[in-house]
Amino acid sequence: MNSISLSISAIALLSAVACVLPGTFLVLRGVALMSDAISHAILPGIVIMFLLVRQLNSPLLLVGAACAGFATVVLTEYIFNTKRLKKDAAIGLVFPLFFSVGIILISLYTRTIHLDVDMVLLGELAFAPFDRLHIFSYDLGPCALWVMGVFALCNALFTLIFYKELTLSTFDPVFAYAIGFRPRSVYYALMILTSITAVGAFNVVGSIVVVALMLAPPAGALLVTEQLKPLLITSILFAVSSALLGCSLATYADVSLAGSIAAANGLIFFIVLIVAPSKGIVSSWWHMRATRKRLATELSQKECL
Amino acid sequence: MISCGVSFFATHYTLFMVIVGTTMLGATCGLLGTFGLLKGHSLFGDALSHAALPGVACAFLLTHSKNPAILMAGGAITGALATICLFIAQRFTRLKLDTLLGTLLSVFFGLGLIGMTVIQKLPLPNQAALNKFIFGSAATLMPQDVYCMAFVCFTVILCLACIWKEVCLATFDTVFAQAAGYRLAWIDCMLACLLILLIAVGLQTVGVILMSALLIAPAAAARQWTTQIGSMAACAACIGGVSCLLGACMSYHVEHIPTGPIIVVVVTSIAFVSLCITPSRIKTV
Repeated sequence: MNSISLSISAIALLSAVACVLPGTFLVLRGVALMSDAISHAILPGIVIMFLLVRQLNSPLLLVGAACAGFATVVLTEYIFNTKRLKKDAAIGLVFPLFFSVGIILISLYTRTIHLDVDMVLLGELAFAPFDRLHIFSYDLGPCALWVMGVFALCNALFTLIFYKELTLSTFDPVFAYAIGFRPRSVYYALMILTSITAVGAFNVVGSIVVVALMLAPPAGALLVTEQLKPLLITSILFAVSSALLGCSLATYADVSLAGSIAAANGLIFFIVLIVAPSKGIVSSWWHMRATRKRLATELSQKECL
Repeated sequence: MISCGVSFFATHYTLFMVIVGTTMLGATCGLLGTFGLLKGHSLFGDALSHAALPGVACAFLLTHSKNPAILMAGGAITGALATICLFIAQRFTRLKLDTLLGTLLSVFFGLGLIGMTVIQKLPLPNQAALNKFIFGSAATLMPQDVYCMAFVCFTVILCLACIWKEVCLATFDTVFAQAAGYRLAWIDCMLACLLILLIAVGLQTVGVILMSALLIAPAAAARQWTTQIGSMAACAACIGGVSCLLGACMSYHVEHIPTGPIIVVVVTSIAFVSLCITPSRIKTV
């Protein structure tokens, strides 16, 4: 395994850890598709910032994207809080609008410049090892490695430091509010973190992989455990395995890295879905069958009496 | 004046095709989206739109033809596959719907991306482009595309009209529907099939994001204006059709902007206006 594929695997691994931590809480709160919404809705943020800055490589593009992500969350929450629409309808109303505004801006103002939507969706993981970070003429490795490393560290620290607040506001927001916590602030902090992670990661792996890494590992882990700490650890385990598996698959079959990582996530999820003890499909079906048999026996016994 | 209108459309044939095609699509999506909204399954359309990509890629890989009917069939097959996975996972596990939708969406789309890279490596002409899938190509609707859309939309509306009572019952009172002997699984299956058909035919013309928006925004807007299911469905169909009409006309007059995003902006603006100006209801949705 040469250093290029090692770099790619390392970046994918760090992206997996960075994405899965906020993703677990999104899944637990029932707003999983907010990750998909944010991934789509950051496009106008990037375009507007690009029109202001006129540079494709500026870090300000990420700031614009994060603002757009946050604006999506705020608008969705506002619509949901008017009680006129359910959560999923609120999510589904806002992000197509933002995405379409982004496309219209691209078509109107950047026709001559290659601001590619493919880049938004697929990222550039294959090229990431070549974009290296140079400080004082020392080659510190790929930029993306440092960026995703920082995000992974931030998310891990956030989860560790605010573990109590996150747990309480996820599972019992009313009680949290009653005893003086601020569940709304925790929610917005989590959403900002999700937006920033999505923005940082989409640049590297693309928005589809971000959604896959945020949702598929916690979904699989929920089929294995119900305690929060084992859930987080299992999600990280699944995410890391799928990132490594996806990278190997992509190198072996010479296919899209983003697609491979997403597909690897899917593979692990489906395997867990089928074979998970006590919550997987096989196990559930077996239990349902056993329960039906037991009930049938009991009913027939009662009829006999 | 009628002859003026006829001659206008005769000279602006492409615009006429786009208007007719997208208006029919918008109206039918509004109609079908009503039930999705009421059940809380609005984002099912979004997930299915993304899940159609591997089908399109596979269909192209197997047949090497860009015939829209074949690509559409491929998209419909993987959409159906995703729906089956969703139903099975919902039946046997306690995972929430949105988690399952997000997982299936991203995984299937990732498989589609793999398919796209395989296609790009083949030395074939006429390679399908990802951009066309995401944004559609409403501006280049051919008459046969419009006939196909008309047929599918008419079929969907006819099926919906046939099972209207059962679908309404299943949406509003599942317990009573089951007690009365209706097979909810069949009704859900039927609605899912209609949705898959509609998405398969709409994707190639208007793209993924527009399909998601057309299935949610008209119904969301209509919900604010009325509480009766019949008038809500009719209102959603009108809003969907009118916004597609307006969007298509606007994009014809403004150069360089694809039709899909303009329609999304129009229909979402109508939804936002409806949210703002209608009186608030006491009960929650």
